[in-house]
Amino acid sequence: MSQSSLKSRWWEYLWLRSEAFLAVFILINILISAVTGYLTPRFISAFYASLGDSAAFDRELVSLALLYGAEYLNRFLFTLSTSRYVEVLLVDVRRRSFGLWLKAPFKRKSGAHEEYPLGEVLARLMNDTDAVREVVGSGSFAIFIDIIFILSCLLSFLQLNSTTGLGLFIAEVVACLLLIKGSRVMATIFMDVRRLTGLMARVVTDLTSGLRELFFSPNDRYASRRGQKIFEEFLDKQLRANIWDAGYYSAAESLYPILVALVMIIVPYSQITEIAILAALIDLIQKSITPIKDVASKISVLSRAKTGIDRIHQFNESFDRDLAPRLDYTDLEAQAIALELRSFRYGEGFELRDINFTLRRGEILGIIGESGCGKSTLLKLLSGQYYSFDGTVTVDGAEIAADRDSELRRFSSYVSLISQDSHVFSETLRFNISLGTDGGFDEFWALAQGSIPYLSRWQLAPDDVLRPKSLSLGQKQLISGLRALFLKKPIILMDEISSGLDSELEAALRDLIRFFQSRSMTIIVTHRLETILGANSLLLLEGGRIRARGTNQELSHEPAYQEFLQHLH
Amino acid sequence: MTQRIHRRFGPWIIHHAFEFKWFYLGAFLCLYLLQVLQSEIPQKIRTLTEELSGQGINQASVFIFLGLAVGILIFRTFSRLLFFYPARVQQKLIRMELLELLEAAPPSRYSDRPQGQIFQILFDDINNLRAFVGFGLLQIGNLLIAAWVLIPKLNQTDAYLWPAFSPLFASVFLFTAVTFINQKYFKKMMDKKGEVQQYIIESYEAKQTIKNFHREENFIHGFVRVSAEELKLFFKSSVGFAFTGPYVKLGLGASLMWAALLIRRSGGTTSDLVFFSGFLYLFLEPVMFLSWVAVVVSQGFAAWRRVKDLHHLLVKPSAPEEQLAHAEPEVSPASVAVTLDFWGRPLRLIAPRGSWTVLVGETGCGKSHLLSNFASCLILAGEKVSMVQQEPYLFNDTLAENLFLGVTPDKVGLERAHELLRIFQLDGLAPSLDEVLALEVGENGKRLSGGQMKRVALARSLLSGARVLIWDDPFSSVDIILEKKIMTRLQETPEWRDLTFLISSHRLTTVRLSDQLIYLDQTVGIRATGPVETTLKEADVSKFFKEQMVGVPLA
Repeated sequence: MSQSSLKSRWWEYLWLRSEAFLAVFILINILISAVTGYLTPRFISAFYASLGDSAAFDRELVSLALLYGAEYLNRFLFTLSTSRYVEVLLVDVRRRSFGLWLKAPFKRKSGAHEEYPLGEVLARLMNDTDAVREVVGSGSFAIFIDIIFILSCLLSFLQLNSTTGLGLFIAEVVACLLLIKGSRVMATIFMDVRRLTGLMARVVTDLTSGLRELFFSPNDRYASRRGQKIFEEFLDKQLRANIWDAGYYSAAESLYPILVALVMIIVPYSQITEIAILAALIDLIQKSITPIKDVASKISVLSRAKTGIDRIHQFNESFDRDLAPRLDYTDLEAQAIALELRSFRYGEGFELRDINFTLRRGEILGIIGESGCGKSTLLKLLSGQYYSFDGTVTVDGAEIAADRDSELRRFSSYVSLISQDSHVFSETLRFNISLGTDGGFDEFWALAQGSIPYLSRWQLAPDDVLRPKSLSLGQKQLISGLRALFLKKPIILMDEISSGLDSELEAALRDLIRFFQSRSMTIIVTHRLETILGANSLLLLEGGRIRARGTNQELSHEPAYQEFLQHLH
Repeated sequence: MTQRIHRRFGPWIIHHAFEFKWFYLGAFLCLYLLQVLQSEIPQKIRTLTEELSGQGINQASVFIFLGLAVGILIFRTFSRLLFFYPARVQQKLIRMELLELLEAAPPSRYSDRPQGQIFQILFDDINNLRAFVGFGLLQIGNLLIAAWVLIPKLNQTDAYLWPAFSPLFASVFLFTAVTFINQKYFKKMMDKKGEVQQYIIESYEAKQTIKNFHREENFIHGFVRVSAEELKLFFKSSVGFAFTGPYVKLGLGASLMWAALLIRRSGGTTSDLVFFSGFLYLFLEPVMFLSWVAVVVSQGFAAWRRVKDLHHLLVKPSAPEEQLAHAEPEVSPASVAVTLDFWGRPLRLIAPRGSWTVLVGETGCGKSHLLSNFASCLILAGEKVSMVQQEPYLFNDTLAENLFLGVTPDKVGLERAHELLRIFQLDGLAPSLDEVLALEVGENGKRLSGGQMKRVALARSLLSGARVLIWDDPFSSVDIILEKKIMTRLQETPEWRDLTFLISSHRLTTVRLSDQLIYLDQTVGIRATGPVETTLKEADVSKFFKEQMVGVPLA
């Protein structure tokens, strides 16, 4: 990556157009600081010189007091406005990364659901953006105003005594360069520590997620063993980094005696005769020590922030590349679909072959078969979110090539998959069904209550907050089914759970399916006899192929179907 | 069990100091020598200025500065290293203590804490404690030693200058005060940060659902809302610092001016003012760090309170646990029995040894709750019990680690694992059984289907060595055919035949394969119980299953 693109990257994350006014205000603060910096050595030397003269002393005392007062006010406003800027900036940076992450399509080839594990997403969105906050939180941002202040101090002093002024300037620049060079080395070390921090975040998330499991499963200190391993690895890395850290800070903090010594070596050749000028020189060294020291200490904060931004950038870039073209995916309509699947291979041996069907609005297609026959895989393929396959899907006569990711993604917008993995949020029922877009919800809810009597008996108001852990699988299916209907998905795929339901919920789900039927095309993988009886058509799968097809009636003479029914009871 | 986090804040620090006493002794020695060297600087500068106005500068006095610089560099580096090490080790130890407590505590003690918060305590808060110990204590020590060395030094020669230090000290006082006022924002901010993390966790789990319905914008909006709330608090907390931060510099200026007035009154010279400003500088260093120290201390204290809050929860029996105290667990060679509260009335749940007992009842009647209480009660009584929840969790680790959970299996254990993989039809996940065991299952088993995850959890339960197995709806995601194969195999094979199973189910097929049936009802408790064949014929029970028996006569 070239240097210039690296630079523009920085600005990309730190510049916020909507807050331009604030940025200009901060710039003015910095300019004012340059002015007060320029005046400081003059006022100081005049102040020292006036120590023996009563009238001049009072005048210089007042001037100096006013100068300090002005600088204080300027600093106060600067800190306030930078804090405000970072607050707004951070919301924006987080929004951007979160948005990119959430909008990015799943990587289909790997078959995995998600490229980044949860701990990693947390580390990137929170810890890394926090590095930016640290810049202000620890006052590091003030380094810019400090440097401007000192530079104008030096410029001003050069005019008072050029030899020592130049000597000090060179010494300070060399010191700064050495410190910055050191900080580069530190940055790579911190990147390493940060990477391990991310890893540790993953392990800690994993372990805290599984605590309940561990209580109920006899185990040999599984969590503490794994925790110990990663904590120790982290400790080791961190201690190594600390050796650099400590040496680096200490060098910076010993600058005062070093600079005084260096400058004093020049003094005999500088024609300084007034003590007041020497006093101003020492005052200047003292004043510039803190900023130079800050370059050292704050640079580690800044380099942490930089690695933070690099990681956010890396995170964001990993999504940018394969963002899907923007399409309006909501409120789609479809009357009929047809599937023509020629072949799909999964792993080594397993293959789905020659599976085709057509389905119209208002119809139910049941997919049945023994476990391992391929019915769940078929369902996943149809949901369009996992794998592309050799074949086509036709929606209302328009053909979609199923072996092309972008096409298939378009198809997946028509489809809602209701399975055990459907998520229920710890939010209101209204939110769970509408996902935040709740126009027309109340009418829909009334309609749903009419069609599914269970909903009225459940005693759950739309604005009650759900506790997902206390819901049964059937209740979750009911909610995700209603969600699919409210958000108007023309094709509903249902992986019917074959147990975990009491008779009340059984009835409710049957009502739900009837409710589906009136509005969409429904494909159900099922074991339940009632669903099979009600389906318009059944596909009996075996070994990845269609063994038999037809209605329940038509199939009742098929030996394969009879055999399947026998297994069911 | 714990050595640290059961203490109060003060005793914890004292304990820590004694635990690493040699480090701290060395560190304080370094700090002392550092300050002694530094305190030489102002006098050396005064001499220099006097030489300048007198006979001219002596080169030897210039090179003394270089010597001072080297000494200061060495002692400072070592004082830091000696403070950092104990803090880092302490961080690891506290993390381990908390993790061990979490591991051992019944989940009911912390169940009302969102996972994001627990993560934050283990991760961020303990890191803040580390910063407090490693950085805060270092700087506080430095300040105390500086005072100890510098004050007598100034007293010797120029005691009349003391009043001029008051603006500097006043600014320090103000700074510290604002920091403590700010502390409440830090705690609030940390809590809010927990909420933001919880939001990310939930969005992560729901990503597929969100994407399926293309409602990403709504969630981005929600995320921005919680994020903005957190950062608003951050801004509020920085207002105080904006006010007091530059005040320290103002204090320094005021001190210098005051000293000039004092020196004029006492007839001193410009050299004396230069000497004073050198001293002011030596005080400035620890004072400037105080701004950080204040932040680190207040964050550290807030973090300690959050750690303590959690610790408090973890060590105190929760309300559900206290109820279990009346459970009278009875473990005999014939059966395992516990009395539990069921909708306000006691219910004696008995599982005969070496057989399968199945609970049935309407959804929401409290079966899961009853089962987990049954398990908790026995676990708390010291029994080796394994429970598989409706939605078990798999760790981001290999399948083998998920099966054995830290136990190193012997040959027999490994053979059993192989057999179970076959029984539960998990052998097809990879070409060979060894490869299946080496399979990384991903975060929360993401690389497996829901049904496969559940089967792994069931196998884990069978391998755990527990004699009592409690399975909540074990076969919900297994089809009827596989279910029959699994149950029959477990009932026929010697090593599992004698185990005690207590399960819940809705499926008639599962019930038929079990030995005892308990039919629960919210209003009366146990509505029917007994051997499966006879109990199934009871009117209530057959009504319950009627829905599932369309067209099929009762056996």
